[in-house]
Amino acid sequence: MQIERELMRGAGPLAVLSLLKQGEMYGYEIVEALSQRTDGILAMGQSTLYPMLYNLENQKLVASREDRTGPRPRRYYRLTKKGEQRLARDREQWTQLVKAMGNLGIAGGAA
Amino acid sequence: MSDDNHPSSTAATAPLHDTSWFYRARYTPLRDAMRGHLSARLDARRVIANAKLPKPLADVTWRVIRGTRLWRSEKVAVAEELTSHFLDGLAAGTTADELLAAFGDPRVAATLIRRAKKRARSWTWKSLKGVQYGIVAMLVLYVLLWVRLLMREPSLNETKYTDAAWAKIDAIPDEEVAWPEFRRIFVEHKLTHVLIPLFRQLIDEQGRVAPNDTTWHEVQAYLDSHQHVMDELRHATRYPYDHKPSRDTGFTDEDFAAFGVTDSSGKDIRYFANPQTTTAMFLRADLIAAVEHRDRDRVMKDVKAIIALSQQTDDRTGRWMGTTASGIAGTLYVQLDTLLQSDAGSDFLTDDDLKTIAHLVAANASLYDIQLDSARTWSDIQLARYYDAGGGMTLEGIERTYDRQRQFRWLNRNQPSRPVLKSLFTMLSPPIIALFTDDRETAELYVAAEFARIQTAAASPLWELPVSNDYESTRTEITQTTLGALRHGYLLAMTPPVHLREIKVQQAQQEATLVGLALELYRREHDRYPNSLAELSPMYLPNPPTDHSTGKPLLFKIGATGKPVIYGRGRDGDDDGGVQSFSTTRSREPSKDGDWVLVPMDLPAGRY
Repeated sequence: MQIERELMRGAGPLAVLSLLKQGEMYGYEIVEALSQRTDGILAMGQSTLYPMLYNLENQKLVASREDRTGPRPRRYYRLTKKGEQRLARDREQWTQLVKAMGNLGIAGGAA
Repeated sequence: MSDDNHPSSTAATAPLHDTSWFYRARYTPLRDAMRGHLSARLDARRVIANAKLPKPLADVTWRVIRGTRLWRSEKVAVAEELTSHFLDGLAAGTTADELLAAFGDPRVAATLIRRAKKRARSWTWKSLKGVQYGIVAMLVLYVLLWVRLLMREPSLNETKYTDAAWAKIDAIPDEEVAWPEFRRIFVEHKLTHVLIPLFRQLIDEQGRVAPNDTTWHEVQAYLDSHQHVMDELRHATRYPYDHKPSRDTGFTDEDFAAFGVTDSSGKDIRYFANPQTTTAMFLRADLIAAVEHRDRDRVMKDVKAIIALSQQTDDRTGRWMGTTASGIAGTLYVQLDTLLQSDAGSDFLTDDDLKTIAHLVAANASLYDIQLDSARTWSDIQLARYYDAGGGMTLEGIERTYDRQRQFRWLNRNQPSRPVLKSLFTMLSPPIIALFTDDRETAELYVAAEFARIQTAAASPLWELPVSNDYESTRTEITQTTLGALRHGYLLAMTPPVHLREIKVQQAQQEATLVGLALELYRREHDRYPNSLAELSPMYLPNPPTDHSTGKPLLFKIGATGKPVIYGRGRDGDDDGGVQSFSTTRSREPSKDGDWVLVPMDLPAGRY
């Protein structure tokens, strides 16, 4: 099941920030992790992921470093302090949103 | 994830595909080049090629990279990341087709990546980009404003106040219009060719014709032997001049060529081609010659012709006409005064002659009313040149603005035009018009306000007018600053239309001429002058004459020569015994001390 673009626009960055909370990752890792952990619901292609990562970096929510020690160069992304704050805030908002949607019988299995 | 099955190498260590110097220089960052190392590491295609991706993946990567239109260093960074992503996928066992399907739309990717990367650029770059966009926007705006400006046409066919003037002119039969007759006489008799070189020697420092030892006898001989020509000129003064004021003189360029408007030294003498002022000069010379011959018929013919010429000039449409007309009459008054003051006297003229002259001069009294209608017509024509029918300033308007500023404010009026400065001003016309100049509606309001103010001043007696010349002070007041001059530049071309003080001074001199004639008639009858001017009325003058410098009665005394001295109290308001002490320069500022001597009139033209 593919999520509508508008929903993904709000959920995607939060999902990426959430993944990076666990440690630094490079692009393909993020795509794989999103796909596996959300059963493909939040899977996103490169055309979406990399512009999103660049924007998060512009907003200083994530930082990156280049690693040329391996067989090919990789860019690793990690959460910044500002990113952590944003993640905490967005998580709270999403919790409230899901709760509210649950109260309407849309999410969370509530009647 | 393993990448053992996909041998690859980093861009940094990849061999150059093109080893030419030009290629390496083109793709080498400045920092490397300065170290003498042409690394060519800014070629994104090389990064993609070195990754050895399956062709569909390499193609889509290149399409994205090319579509981003980013800087080379940014392209390389994105290329490394995308190729690395595909290699990781392949290493994880994902097929190329699956990776391609999961990639998404390359065009969308390129657009989003470009947008994100540009956001990451420095503020310096963003600022410069903003400046660049601003310059381009201004250039576009500038071109559009120019197009708009060039499309504007002066609205001469929409003038409001000219219709009546034109209708009056059009109603006169062609054979009764004077200016073609003047043209015929001037061209046929080559008057400017023959007389102007002689007259140039005769004009004194006050701009008046005065006999001298150089060319006067030649002039006199010509006039004596060409009375038929003078009769033609006198005759031409009887009809309305009536030329629409597209030109000052009514002559064409061909006419000017026929007149020879440059003298032998190449100096422009076009001024003399003005038929009315030039005719006035000829008639005054003829009057002087007639007095010398004591030829009363010729004197009377010249007096009548000069007054007719003055009236004819006054009836013309144009802002200077009232002033010019009063100047023409002024030459007559000075000559009459000279005649009355001379030792030879005016005895060869009969009492009836003097009364006739007095009646002619008195009839001329209403002549120099402030000509608001004429001036308003002129202003309307000017305004129509400045603006188009839609109310926007025309190119002609902005160029006239520059010319008037140069003439009146920015540059010394004696300096020649500066084409470069004018070109620069013209180049800046569109923004000047857009930002500074009044629109037509506002201009109309300013012009109307000017005329209302002038009308009030015109109704005021001379002693209530400010000392400074009204004509100049109005311009100075409104266009005092550069911004004001730009905003209201049209005012310099059209208002105020008259020299209020000059005309009122001329009216006072006209009255003084009548007083002089009345005194002479009194003397002839009583064999003496009266004790005061009050004795002249009502027998010789309808009312006791007024001192126009104070509003009190005009003063009179017998001078050292035994001839009358007629004077006002002047700026200080007290009687200094008829002693005029103002500067002999042409300054418009009257002296604060001394009297304003009206008769004798042969005093320097400082005036009141």
